[in-house]
Amino acid sequence: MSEPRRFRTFLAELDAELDGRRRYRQRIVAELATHFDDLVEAEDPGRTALAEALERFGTAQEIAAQFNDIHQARVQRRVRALAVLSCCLAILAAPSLLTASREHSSSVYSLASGRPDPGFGMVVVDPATGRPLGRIYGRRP
Amino acid sequence: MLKGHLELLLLSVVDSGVVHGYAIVEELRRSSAGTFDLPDGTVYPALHRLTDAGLLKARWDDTGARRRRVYALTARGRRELARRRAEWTRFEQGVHGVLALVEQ
Repeated sequence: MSEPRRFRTFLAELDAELDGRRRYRQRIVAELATHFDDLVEAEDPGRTALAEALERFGTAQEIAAQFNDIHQARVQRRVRALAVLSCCLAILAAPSLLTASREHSSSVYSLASGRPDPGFGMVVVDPATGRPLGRIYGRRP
Repeated sequence: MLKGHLELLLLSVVDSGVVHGYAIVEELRRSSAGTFDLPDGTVYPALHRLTDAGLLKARWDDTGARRRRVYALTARGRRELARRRAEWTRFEQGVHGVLALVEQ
């Protein structure tokens, strides 16, 4: 396989191996393509320079794996941030929701048991881990 | 051995005014007298990690003959570089002190 063709194949393989959105993949591929241009320009121009550049770079799979680790870490950070945000929203919204449902649940309890409803409680759970974060208690007037 | 210190070296090279990938690889090789002759493919993921961590910022530069992705330290990157540099100096002095015992 000729060097320019090997080079195009390398970039195509890299693009195929990378995770993430098309724009993100294109940015990485374009950046590495400029690196090859610099390498070839700095050494004796010609086929050998490109071959050496490809040797120095490593395989497309190896490089893609490193970028994919970074991408995965970024996705996990976003999921965690979203989970924390969801918890905060749930904690903020919980009192309003409990107040809104209080009359309904109280009358159901009273009807079923024939006794006054003693109160209510709610466990707030982290949606990412499933672990309980805390409890919210209320006492019916 | 280099693995833990690659980020410090990259931050330092970018701080010296070398801003794009190829030049960063070359500067690492040149300034270390060939000690850090890294496979070119390892530097770009490390640059992206530093960008992701908010220590570097990257943009496309269209002013030259060729479009290039250029890197610069962020304010946080400068602080981190100063911190790691101080940490490395302490470590280096510590090792030097211990090795000097043998020479005495």
